[in-house]
Amino acid sequence: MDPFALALATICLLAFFLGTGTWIFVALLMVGITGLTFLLDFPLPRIGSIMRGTMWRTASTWELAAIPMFVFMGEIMFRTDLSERLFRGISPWASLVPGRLLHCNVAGCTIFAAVSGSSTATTATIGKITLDELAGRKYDMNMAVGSLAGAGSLGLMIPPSISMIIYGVLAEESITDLFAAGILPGLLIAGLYSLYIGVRANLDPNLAPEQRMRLTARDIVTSAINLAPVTLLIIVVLGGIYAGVVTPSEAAALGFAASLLLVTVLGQLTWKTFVESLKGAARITCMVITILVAAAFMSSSMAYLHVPQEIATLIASLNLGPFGLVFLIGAFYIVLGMFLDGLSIMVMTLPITLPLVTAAGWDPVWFGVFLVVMIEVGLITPPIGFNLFVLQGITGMSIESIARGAFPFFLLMLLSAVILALFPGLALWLPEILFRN
Amino acid sequence: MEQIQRIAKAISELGMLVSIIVIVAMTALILTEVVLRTFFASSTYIMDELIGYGVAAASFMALGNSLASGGLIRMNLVIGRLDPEGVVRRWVEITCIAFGLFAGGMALFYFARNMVRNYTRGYVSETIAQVPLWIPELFMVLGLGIFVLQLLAYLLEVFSRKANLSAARAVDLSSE
Repeated sequence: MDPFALALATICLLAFFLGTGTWIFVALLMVGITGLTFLLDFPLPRIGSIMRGTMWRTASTWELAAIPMFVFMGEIMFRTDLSERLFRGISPWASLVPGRLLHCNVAGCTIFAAVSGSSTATTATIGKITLDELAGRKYDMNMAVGSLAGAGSLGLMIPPSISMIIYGVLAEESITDLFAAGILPGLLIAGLYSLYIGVRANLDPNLAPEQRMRLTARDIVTSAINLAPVTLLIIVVLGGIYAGVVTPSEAAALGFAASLLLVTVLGQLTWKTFVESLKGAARITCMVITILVAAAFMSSSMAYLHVPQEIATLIASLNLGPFGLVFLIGAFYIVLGMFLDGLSIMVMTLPITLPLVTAAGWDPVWFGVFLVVMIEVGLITPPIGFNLFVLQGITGMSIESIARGAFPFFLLMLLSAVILALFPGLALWLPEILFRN
Repeated sequence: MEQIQRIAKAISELGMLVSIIVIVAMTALILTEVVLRTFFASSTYIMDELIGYGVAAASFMALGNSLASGGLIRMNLVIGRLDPEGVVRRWVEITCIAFGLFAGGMALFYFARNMVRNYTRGYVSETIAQVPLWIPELFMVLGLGIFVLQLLAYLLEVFSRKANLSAARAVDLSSE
C-alpha cells in the first residue's frame, strides 16, 4: 500500500472503532492493534511489546500525579457550601453593573477555575447554586444557562488545568509556563462574556430584573468574609507556582492538603465527603490517564505507519502560511469538537498538528493555549459537549435549548481565538516576565 | 450469575480502595519532599520514580470501578440513536465489550508476561531506590485483570438482558 492510502486506512479504522461506541481508550488501543496487524503485518508478540512499552512509559509519568489532586480539590469543594459562599461574595458587586447576577456565573466560574482543574466540576459547582437563584429572581434562563455553559469551560484554561498538564506532557513543554500562559487569555474570555452580558442587559432590561443597587459597608465586609476561603486556596496553589518555589505537582499536593484543612475548619468535612471526593478524583484520573496511555500506543503505531508525515506533507503542499494553517486547524478542531471530548481530540491530533504548527513558526506554549480555547469551544457545541450534558443534568432542559443559549458565547470564544492568533503575546507575555528574567 | 456480578463488583471496589490509598500516599510523599526541601535542604531522592509508579497504579486500579460506574467515556453519537431495548443495540454493546476484552486482555497478557520475567530474573530499577520492577507492574496487571473481570460480568448482564442500555452516560459527576 502506498503511504497515503495507509494514512487514510488508519483514519477509517479510528472512525470505525470510535463509532461503535466502545470505551474511548479501548477504541484507541484497537486502532493501534489492528493498524499494526493488518496494515503492516506485524506479528502479535511484537505489537504486544510495543503496546506494553508505550503504555507503561506514559502511565508512569510523574507529572501526571497533579491530576488526581487538582480534581480532588474541585470534588471536595463541590460537596461543601463553597459555591454558596462564592455566590454571596460576588453578588453584591455584580448587582452594581448591567446584567447583575448573571455576572455571578462568569466571575464564579473564573474564581472556581483557579482552584479546580476540571471544567465539569466548575460548571456543576457554580451551576448548582446560581441557576436556582437566577430562576427564582426571574432572570432570562437562556442567558443564565448560556453564560454558565460558556464560563464553565474556563475551568480548562485558567490554571490549575488538567488540559494544560496533559498538553505539557504530550508536547514536552513546561507545565509551569503553560499555567502562566493561560491566565490572560482566560481573563480575556471572561471579560468578553461579562461585556456581552452587560451590553445585552442594557438593550433588554428584562434579561436581568431590577433590584436594590446600593452597596453598604456591611455588604463589603460580608463579601470579603465569604470570598476569603477560596482566595486563600488560590494563593496557596498558584502563588507557589508563580513565585517559582514549587512545581505544579507540589502545588497540587499543597492544594490537596489546604482544601482538606479548609473544609475541616469550615466544619464540613465528613468521612463520606472525603471518600466520595477521592473516588471521584480516582475515576476522573483513571478516565483521563487510560485515554492518554492508549493514545500514546496509537500514536506510536501511527508513527510506524508514517501517518503524521503523510498528513504533514499533504498540508505543507497547500502552502497556507502561518495564519492559514492555524485557521484550517481551528476549523478542524471545531468539527471534531462536535463529536468528541477535548481530551481525546488533544491526544489523538497533537502528534500531527504540533509539528506542523511549530514548523510554521508558532510557539508551542502559544499553541497549547490556542488548543485549549478550541477544546473549550467543543465543550458547548452539540451533539457532544460535556458542559451541555452537565447543564442538562442540573436543569433538565434539552441539549438543543442549552446549546442555543450558549451560542453567543461560542461566537465569543471564537473571537478570543482570533485575538489570540493576532496577538500571541497575550499568552506568551506572562511566562516570559515571570520565569525568564 | 448474580453471584459473579457481586464478586466482580466487590473486587472492583477493592481496586478502587487501592487507587484512593495510592492517591493519598502520593500526596503525602510529595508533601514530605516539599517539607524536607524547604526546611532541611534535603530530599527523599526517590520521589519522581515512586510518584510515577503511583500514577500508573492509581489510574489502572480504578479501571474496574470506573467501568462499572459509567466513568469511562465513550462516543454515543451512534449508540445513542439506537433503540435501547432493541436487538441491534444489544449486539453493538456485545461488540463493544468484545473489543474491550480483546484489547484489555492483550495488554493484560503482555504486562503479566513482562512482570513474571522481571520477577524471575530479579530486575530492579536503575536508581538508588532499586525497586524490583515486578512490583509496579503488578498493579498494572491487577488493574487490567479487574477490568477484564468487570467486562465479563457486564457481558453476562447484557446477554441475560438485565443491563440498562438506555443511555451510555458520558458524564457521571457526583451523582451518587
